[in-house]
Amino acid sequence: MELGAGTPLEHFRADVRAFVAAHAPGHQVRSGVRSPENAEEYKDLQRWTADLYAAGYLGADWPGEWGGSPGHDPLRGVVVAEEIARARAPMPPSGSSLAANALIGFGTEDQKARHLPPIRSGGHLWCQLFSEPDAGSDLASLRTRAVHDGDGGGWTVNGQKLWTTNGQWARYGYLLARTDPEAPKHKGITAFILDMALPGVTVHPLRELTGTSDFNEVFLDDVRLPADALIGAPGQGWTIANASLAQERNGVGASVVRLQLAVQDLIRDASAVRIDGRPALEHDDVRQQIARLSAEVDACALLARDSTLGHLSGRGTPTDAPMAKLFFSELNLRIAEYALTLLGPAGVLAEGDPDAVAHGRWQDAYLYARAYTIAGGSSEIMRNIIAERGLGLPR
Amino acid sequence: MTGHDLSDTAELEGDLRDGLRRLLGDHCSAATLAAWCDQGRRTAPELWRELALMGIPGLPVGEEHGGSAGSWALAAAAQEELGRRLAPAPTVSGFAVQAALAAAGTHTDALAALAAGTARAAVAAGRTDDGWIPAPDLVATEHASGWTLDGTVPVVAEAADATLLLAAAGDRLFLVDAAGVRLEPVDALDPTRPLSRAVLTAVDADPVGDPGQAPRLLAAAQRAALVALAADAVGVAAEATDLAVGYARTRRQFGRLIGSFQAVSHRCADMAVAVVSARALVAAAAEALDGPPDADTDIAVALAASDALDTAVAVAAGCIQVHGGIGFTWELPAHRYLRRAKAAQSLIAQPDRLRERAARALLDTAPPTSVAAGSRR
Repeated sequence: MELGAGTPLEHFRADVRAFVAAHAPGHQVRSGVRSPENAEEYKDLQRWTADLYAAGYLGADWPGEWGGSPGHDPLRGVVVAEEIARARAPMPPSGSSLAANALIGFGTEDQKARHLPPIRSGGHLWCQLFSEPDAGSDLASLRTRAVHDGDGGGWTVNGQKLWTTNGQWARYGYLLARTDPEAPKHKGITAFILDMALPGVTVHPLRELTGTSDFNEVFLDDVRLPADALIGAPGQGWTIANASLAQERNGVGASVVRLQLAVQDLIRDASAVRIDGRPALEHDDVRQQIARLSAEVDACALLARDSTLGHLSGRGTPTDAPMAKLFFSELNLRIAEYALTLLGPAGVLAEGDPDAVAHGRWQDAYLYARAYTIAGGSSEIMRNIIAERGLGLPR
Repeated sequence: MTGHDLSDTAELEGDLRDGLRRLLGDHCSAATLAAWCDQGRRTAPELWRELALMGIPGLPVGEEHGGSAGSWALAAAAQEELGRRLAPAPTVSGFAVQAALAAAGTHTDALAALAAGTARAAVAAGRTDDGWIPAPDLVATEHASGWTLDGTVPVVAEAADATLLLAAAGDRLFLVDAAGVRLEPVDALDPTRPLSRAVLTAVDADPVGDPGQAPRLLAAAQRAALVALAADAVGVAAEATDLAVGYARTRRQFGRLIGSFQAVSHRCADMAVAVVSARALVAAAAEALDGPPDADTDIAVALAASDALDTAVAVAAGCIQVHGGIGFTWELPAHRYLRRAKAAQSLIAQPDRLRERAARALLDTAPPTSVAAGSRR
């Protein structure tokens, strides 16, 4: 099921696996996209990011002059993400790589020279400032305003961003703001570099239903941006955002690896939990259920693989990614739900209690699983896209 | 429901629900509850005092035993309202212990104190997928002067400010003064129904009933607890539905109210149907508890509990999904509903096992039919 089995990619995978085992931070991450929980984890993440760039496992797709490897096989990026996920190690900050994609594609030479090296060194972590309270699934309706101060001048930004991963740690933000409220909604958006230390930028960690703080609210009040904060041209923001997001396909493979790990965990815990005096794993209905989930994970892996290969070969369809996302997020939720069912009476115990099975991480995974069926376009939106663009059903 | 005709009952229930909603609106608002949870509190003595003044703890017990109504139907209605507001009040366990004492016909003082709300009781039993059993680690010893209990019960619900424990040890049930028991907090998925670990060291214990009666009394306690928990789950689901519908009516995306998208409106409709059907099953089970226990009582309780407990989880999860991103925040109470629902699902007996129990009872009492050709095994 793995990409590139029996090819040079397999040797590459072995190298990455050894590298991750030797260099990844010691702390094991929770389910989902999470922020560092303390300054120590943040420092670990910076060092880990630097190690990955230095080894060429990140940024290989960058231009040679900025440290990339010309002729780089894009599937290698997928393999790297998969192996990081397999080790349950923290993912390098996606905001930084998204910003790098945008700067490489649309930034000035000066912007690249200023920002790409500190991204490689792990010194500057970036967050993505896209979503807003009233612009979630409908991102193009974002309302944060950037007003041009006049000839040669900078911009003044006002608005609020939401769901900002790593916002509390980030040195820079990759910001989308509306510069032309008269233009059609996709056309009036512009991309900016936001120095998070500027006056008027306030970051509030957001506590999620899990009880942890992985996202932030970012308030922008009369923030004065210099002229060279602009990425690309005014009105080009939507194009830039889509281009930089489209390059970030590596996470799909990593998500599938997490599902495979979840099934392994399920089997581990089904061996430990006893039902009617026998290990749960010896019960027919439990075996059936785990086998069914495992088969669905295999199907998800194939979907994700085909989606990635289709994208890279240019033969993809607009519904490949939505199908993979819908399938993954709903399956991920069902696995966590089944795990809690399997724990039976122990399901009431949460993280922190010594008697909690698997340190209560299933409870955390169960609660966090909601994020995947909502974030990045909810399951309902995915179904709309599949129905309208894939099946040709009327809107 | 002897002594009341149907319209009286409906009126009583309506008055009870209205009174409770007013009380809980004052004492158990979303903000009050959030503060209570986030401060790590485990008891709500003021709320309990108000509930006791209203006669809520004594609803299942007749006036002759110090209770207020003698009606499980009213107790279930009250518990639904408590679930709606996620009230941190230990009524489920209190009702369970009252049921056991009433079935034993002894300990009338304790029963009266529980009904009056001056005592609060929790159940210290072993927990299995099928429900309560004698606590495996609890040892009862008989002395010349009486009994003592030693051992640990890993999870006891609603014991944080209990004054009494009903302990199942060996082949007996005992009533224990909680003051002599070490109750340690346990980290729980649902802070509104706190869990404790009970550690007993040579604690004096008062036997309830004879050894032969223990299974029957524990079953009576469990039936009452399941009906109360199921009623609570209906309240959780009802409020989660209201929250979702309220949001779907006001949240705009893509230039429309999201409730106008059928993906959202159909989900809300399914939630509403699930709530209504669960409430009907719970009402039937509560009525069954008001009569003498028989095989049909067990079926009614198992069906109501399995349906309501699963419904609450599905509906609370649906509530989060309808809210989208904001549903994923700590600030919105949706997660508190999901936590209360999910914890209830595995608190006493697993819904699939309850369904299995009902199925067995239904099939065992069904008239034999000829078996068609072939069997699966």
